[in-house]
Amino acid sequence: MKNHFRFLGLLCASLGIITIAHAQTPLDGLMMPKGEICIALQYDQVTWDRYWEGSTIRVNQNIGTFTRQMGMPMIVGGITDKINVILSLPYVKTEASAGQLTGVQGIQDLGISVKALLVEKSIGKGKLTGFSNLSFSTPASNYLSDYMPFSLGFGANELGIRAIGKYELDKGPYFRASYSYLHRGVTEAERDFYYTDQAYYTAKMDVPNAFLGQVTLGSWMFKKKLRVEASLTTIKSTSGDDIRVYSMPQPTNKVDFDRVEGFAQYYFKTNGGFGLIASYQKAISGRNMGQFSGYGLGITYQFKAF
Amino acid sequence: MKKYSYSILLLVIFAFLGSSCVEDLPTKYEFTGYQFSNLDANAGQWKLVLHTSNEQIPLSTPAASGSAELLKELADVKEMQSKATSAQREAVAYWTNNPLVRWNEIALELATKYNLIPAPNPDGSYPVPDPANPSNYPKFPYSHPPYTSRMLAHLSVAQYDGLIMAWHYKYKFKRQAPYQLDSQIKSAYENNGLFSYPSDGAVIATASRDVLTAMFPLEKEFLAQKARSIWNRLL
Repeated sequence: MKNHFRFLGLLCASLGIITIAHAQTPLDGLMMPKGEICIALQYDQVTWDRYWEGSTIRVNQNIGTFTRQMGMPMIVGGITDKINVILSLPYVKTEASAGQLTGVQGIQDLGISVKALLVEKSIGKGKLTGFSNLSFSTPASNYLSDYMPFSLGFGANELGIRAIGKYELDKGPYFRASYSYLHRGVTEAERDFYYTDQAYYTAKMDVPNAFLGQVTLGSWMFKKKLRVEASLTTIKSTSGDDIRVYSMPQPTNKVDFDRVEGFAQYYFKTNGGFGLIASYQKAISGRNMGQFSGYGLGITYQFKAF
Repeated sequence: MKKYSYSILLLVIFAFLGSSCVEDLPTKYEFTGYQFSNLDANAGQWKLVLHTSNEQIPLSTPAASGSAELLKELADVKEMQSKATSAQREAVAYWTNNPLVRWNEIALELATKYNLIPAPNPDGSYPVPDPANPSNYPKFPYSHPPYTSRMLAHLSVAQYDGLIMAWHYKYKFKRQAPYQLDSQIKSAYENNGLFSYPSDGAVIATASRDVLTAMFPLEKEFLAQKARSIWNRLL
């Protein structure tokens, strides 16, 4: 029977949320001044042909190479100089190069996020800034979350709270660190019985909460026209079960991973107008997750609205 | 103004955390007891599947009515009922007056738990579970659908034959239930006047435990503990 009857996978569900565009994200250390609006269009593509089942790495001939693409419009607005609002609505498409399971596409989750500048002071030859961010996302279409790894997202509400600190030298280099707690609700499957490490007699699945930590080294160059960054991101779920041997993943799984990322943003003008974004990301370790790597491209336009 | 808006944000967070943390997802099938419309008094004569005679499993005669032995047993029952722990009361509600439902639930859960295809060897061949060494990988059994069907068939006929024999002895010995012999004893379930020796719940528990232990040898302890917890409901 070889591998033809086994389908499994890997779950990238959380990826859609985590790879939220880079132009100005809930996680970065930038603020838009009052009345400025930035519109961004971001495209991300990640692929994997191996995945972690628990901590065991697997190859699956019924998946082949898995591809997840995401196009995301995003709007960032400066309500005041110290409070920004970020809206995002990703469109996701998934597919596998082999096997019997077909990919899906559609609108994923609507994200609303408020970022506040809390601390700003000059220290030495640089400036220390501290931000807090509160985000909420909710499924924006009626997609099936219990169809991993193809599902568009994990199909549950998520409330995120973040602390971000940044120290930037006047010459351009900066260091940034952030820590987030992501609280997820329950999602609804299309089966009324499922098994994790015990049986559940309900269609509701508890999506594990997670902690997300990120450290970033970056620098401004060419008179603040170019920004480059390298970052390390780690996600740890606070609960959840492992994918069972050669079985499909499900939204209850404990998803952990570490990711390295390179990022560059180029502004054609120093105040407003068009900008371009390019990024590369790669998973270096994980649990119940595809060993993904991929790139992102984006275009941003910033203008004074009021 | 700013402080004020932050406290609103905090309130929203706590409201959200509070509301979505408390949801308990059910880990067992929702099922409550019911009243049997008929005691099937002649069920002891029904056709057996595995056995040839309804006395093939011998049973000793119970202590006579009014004997010191029986009075002692009744006193023990009263004492146990008065000292019932909350765990024992939960077990009464869990098993209901039809523990067949729970044993089938346990069987299906184990079938799900063991429905894991063995991972291929590096050379592409597939290992086979070994019933003699069930804990070696791949664990025994691989409870694929044919295995599960066989397991459920074994379980059902064991329960069926066991109940036929139990009914035969119940109507042979005609031992009244403890709550009929002593008005201070309360039945945990609806009084139905069924003779109480042997206990149908104990027969179901023993037959189910033994069949499931044979089919899922690694679950021996779990099944024994389940069977022990059913003793609590029998009174």
